[in-house]
Amino acid sequence: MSKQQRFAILAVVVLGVLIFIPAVLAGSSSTGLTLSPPVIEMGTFFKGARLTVIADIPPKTQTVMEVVGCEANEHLMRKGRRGGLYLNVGELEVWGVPKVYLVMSSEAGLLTGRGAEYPWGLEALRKKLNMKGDIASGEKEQLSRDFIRLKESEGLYATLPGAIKMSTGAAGVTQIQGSFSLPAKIPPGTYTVRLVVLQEGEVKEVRQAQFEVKMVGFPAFLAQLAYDQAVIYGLVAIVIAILAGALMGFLFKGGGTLSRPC
Amino acid sequence: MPIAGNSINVFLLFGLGGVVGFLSGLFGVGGGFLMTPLLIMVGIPSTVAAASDSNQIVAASTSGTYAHYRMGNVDFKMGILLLIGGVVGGTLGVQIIKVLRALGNADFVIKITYVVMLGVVGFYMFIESLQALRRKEGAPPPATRVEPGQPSRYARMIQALPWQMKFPKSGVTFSALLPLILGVLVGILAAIMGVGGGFIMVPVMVYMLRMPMHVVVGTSLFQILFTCINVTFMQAISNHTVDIVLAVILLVGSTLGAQIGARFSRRLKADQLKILLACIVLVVMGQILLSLLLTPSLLLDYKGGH
Repeated sequence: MSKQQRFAILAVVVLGVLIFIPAVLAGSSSTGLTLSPPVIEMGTFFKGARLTVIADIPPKTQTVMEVVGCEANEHLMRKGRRGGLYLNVGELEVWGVPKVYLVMSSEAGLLTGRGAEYPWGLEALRKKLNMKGDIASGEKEQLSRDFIRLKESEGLYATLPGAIKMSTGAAGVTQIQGSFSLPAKIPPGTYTVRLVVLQEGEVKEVRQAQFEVKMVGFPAFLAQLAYDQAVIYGLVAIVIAILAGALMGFLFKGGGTLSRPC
Repeated sequence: MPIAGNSINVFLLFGLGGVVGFLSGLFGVGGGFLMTPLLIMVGIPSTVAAASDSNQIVAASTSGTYAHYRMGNVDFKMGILLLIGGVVGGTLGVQIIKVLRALGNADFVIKITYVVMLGVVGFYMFIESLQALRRKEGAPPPATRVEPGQPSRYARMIQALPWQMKFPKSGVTFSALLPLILGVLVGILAAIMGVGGGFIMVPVMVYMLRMPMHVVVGTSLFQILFTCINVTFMQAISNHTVDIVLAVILLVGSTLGAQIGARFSRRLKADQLKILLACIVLVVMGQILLSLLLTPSLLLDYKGGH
């Protein structure tokens, strides 16, 4: 083996190690946070998932944990009464907001009461909202509250004061554990978990890790087909329906679902 | 649900299909006009509910059309004219939904169309079956005066239309424009409401086109099958709102429900069934109307219904 060949092999090995080690450690404690599971798969029977975050923190500290989705612009309609009926009466755009925002703390006071003055939590997020569209002066406050409530109603935004569990290990190390309930409507994408460690109200440390939510299996195939190959999807939908109808008709000897028109 | 974008219990959807199928088997009508509102009530976005229900109706009307074709109950000449109108109307309806989604009022239009249609059909059915029940209690029906020789204004108007055509299977003669226009109207409603349109088409064929009942059912199913194929395809390519998984679950549930309902219906009298169906239709209509009248818990919603 020549010197050049040995150098090439060594370079490939080093490169491989550099690529694979971070990949293996992703979702583990390389960032000081252990996420379980590191990848959330949305399969056929996905009903939401639970994400557990574990970390070791210095003693006599408090923590805030956030799950933040990627930022997006939300296009909304505001409802109003016209002729006695409620219908959409104006358009709004909220830009640069996280698709998902879940937050919990070790002490309730970090998210409630005076805790609302910190740069985390739903109240801080609400104050930062950028809105434009059909908004009269003085309406932003109410509309921003409605926006947060809309997200909360879908389970995409949530605040859990005092939900972080703390325990002291044998070596005097404090271990914390946060368990987030991710809703069934969570959009696929990369999410950031942020841990803020505080001592006497001051931020001492911020740690971050990422996890992924992805559609897998049949739902992923169908969603991709529906949006990227809409013509094929439409034809497939019709063929499946005709075959299913014919099969049902055969099984029930022509009885079918609708022996008469609807 | 990959297209509806949310997670709903499979057994709930299966049960919903079963209940609507049971009612369709019990009352001898299709369940399209009940299925879409019920899907909306369980949290499926109305645009997805309407489009997926159209897909489900394709499956449901396939077996029915085939059965009637074998019995010779399909007037293809009439059916094709209605179908041409239905395809034009369905395409138009899908584009209306597309524009309304862009404006943000698709949900409102779907709901208000349901309120009007269910209200009219439910009220008419209720009054008619109530009168029938009262007649049976003893009072003879009021005598109707027949004035021979003078055709009605409606008949004169129909005869004056161009492109008069004979329909031997149905034994009627009138302008080809009539089934074309009616097909367009039913096609628009099929796209907006996610229904086959039979509950409008059957009375139209009986009372306006004067077709015999046995041909009406087969021809209506034939027209519904192709109208819903067109609506499903157009919804899939224009609005991406067809959820195959949802449609198949509903289909399986409704097929089983229809079989049970059909067996159960033999134990009840026709007028009792009719008045019961009218009550169900009016309750569904009332529920949708209330959702439009009462102040919603949130005065914000996503544009496009998602």
